[in-house]
Amino acid sequence: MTEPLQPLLTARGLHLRHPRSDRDAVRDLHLELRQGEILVILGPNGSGKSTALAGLARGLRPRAGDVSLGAHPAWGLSRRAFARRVARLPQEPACPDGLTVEELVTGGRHPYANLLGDLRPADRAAVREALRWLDLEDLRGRAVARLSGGERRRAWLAMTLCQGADVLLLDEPTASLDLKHQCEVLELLARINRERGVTLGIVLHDVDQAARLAHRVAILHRGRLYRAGPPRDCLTREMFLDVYGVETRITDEAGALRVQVLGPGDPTRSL
Amino acid sequence: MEAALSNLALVWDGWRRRPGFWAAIWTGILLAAAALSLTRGAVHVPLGELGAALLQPAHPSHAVVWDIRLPRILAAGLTGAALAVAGALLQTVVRNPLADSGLLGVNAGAGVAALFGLIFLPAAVAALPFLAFAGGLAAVALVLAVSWAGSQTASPLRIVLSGVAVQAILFAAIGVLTFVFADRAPAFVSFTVGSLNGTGWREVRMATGPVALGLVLAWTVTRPLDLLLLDDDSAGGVGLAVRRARVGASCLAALLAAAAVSVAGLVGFVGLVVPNWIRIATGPAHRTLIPLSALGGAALLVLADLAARTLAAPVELPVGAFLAFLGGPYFLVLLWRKLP
Repeated sequence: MTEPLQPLLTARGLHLRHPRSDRDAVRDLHLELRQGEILVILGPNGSGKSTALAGLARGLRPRAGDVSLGAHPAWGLSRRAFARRVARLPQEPACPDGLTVEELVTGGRHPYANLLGDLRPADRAAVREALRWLDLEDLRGRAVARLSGGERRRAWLAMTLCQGADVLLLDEPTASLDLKHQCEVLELLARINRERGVTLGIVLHDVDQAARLAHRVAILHRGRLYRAGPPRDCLTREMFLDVYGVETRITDEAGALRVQVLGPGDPTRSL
Repeated sequence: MEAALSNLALVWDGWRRRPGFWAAIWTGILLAAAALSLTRGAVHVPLGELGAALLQPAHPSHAVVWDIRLPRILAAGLTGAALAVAGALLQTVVRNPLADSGLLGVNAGAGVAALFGLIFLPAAVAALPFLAFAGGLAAVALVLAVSWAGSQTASPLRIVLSGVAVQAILFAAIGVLTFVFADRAPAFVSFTVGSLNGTGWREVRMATGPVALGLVLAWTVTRPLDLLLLDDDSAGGVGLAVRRARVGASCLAALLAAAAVSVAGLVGFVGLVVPNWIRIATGPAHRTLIPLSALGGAALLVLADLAARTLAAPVELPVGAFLAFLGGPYFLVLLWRKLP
């Protein structure tokens, strides 16, 4: 990768609050997603990761600050124009009984639909391609709700992929998957980034996975950005003590960063 | 023998998910019920004479078949189609298979407004469905606002409870209106229980426009409706204006239900059972759900009306009550199996 990379999706001084909550879940967030990178957002429970991702994806209107997509203010674009550039996959999305893989994936073409919603050849081609890319051709007629966890995640990825966006924002795409399917999904994401040049913003829980996948990580702590940068600079013993309150040993063997959690850290340190 | 049976099962398995197969079945039921309905009644018209009776004004049975039975069948078909599609739309809006224009108070709201029209504006018959539309819309808006208040998705329990509360108020209003204006309003019982007794060309003309409009509009928004089946974040992520889509679909449902109520009064359960049957057979995608619901609803109501007016002849049962005998148990089974 060649530096410097163009910022694609930028949050400036973002304050986000959930409806009916009385405090901001994200405060004064400055964060940028650069063209072609994989940015992993990390942080303990309740640190505002998912909220920050929703804010970037235009899923939550900021109370203060703004998000821009390239040179445009994100909220100035039409909903569908934004969806053509930025796709979002929520955590464990719900799919109704009986909806087939192909029907779900076709939903990803909504930003391109005309008033009557009929599919054009380009839409059909995009759906076919997404199904092929995620190896879902044999499952296209199957009900999504009946698939295994890993297959279901692939179906949702196919839907977001055929949206044709440059930016893909994913909230814990490996949650509730077994180890093999976690690896499978992470590999797929790396491939999507490498071969299709899609910029990825991913919320993850597992720091080892983050270290392996990310070009950069952003660490959130109590709604604020604690630090952002390459994994090596951010995943430090000090950070784990401050943010997670755990004592760790970080090893760096042959370029592979490993985090070993030793136990709870000194309670006086985690403020 | 066993091989033949398993072959049959295979063929059945292949067919049963095809929309075309079900379209053919429902069309068959609809046409058979309509034909039978044209021949049966106080005056029996043999099937062989049906063509002549319909087309030749000089035929002795022409008046019965053309002026009484045919418009009643058309009214039943329009009402059934409208109610079934309204049910399908509302089930998608609240993401719950137990929703229905009756349960959500749309029918009762439309009923109150229609009664108002009948009593106070008897000259404006053509405006009746639109008046009913306003009433139905107000009722569904109230129910949905209460059940959505303060949460992203309405729980089925809140929808049903607020529907019951709103319905109670509206039924009280219907009761008062029909009691006080007994000389001008239709009989309370036949209105609240739903009946096609006495519907003629006037009702058909009145309902055709709104029902056709509602069905065509519903057909054009089938893909956004599919997205409404997903969670709000996913639907918003592909650029759907979720709230606007919900409001739009509710308006369509109110329009259709209102047209049905203006013709037949409060006919329940068509909107509940038909879309659920269709979903079980061919899945929840609206490209098939909407047209098949319309077809199935029409077929069911024509069939039910035929049964209601001939089974206990010369006594004519109200078709709404007849359907409730079918729909009530179905609703209970659905509750038994689907709710945690």
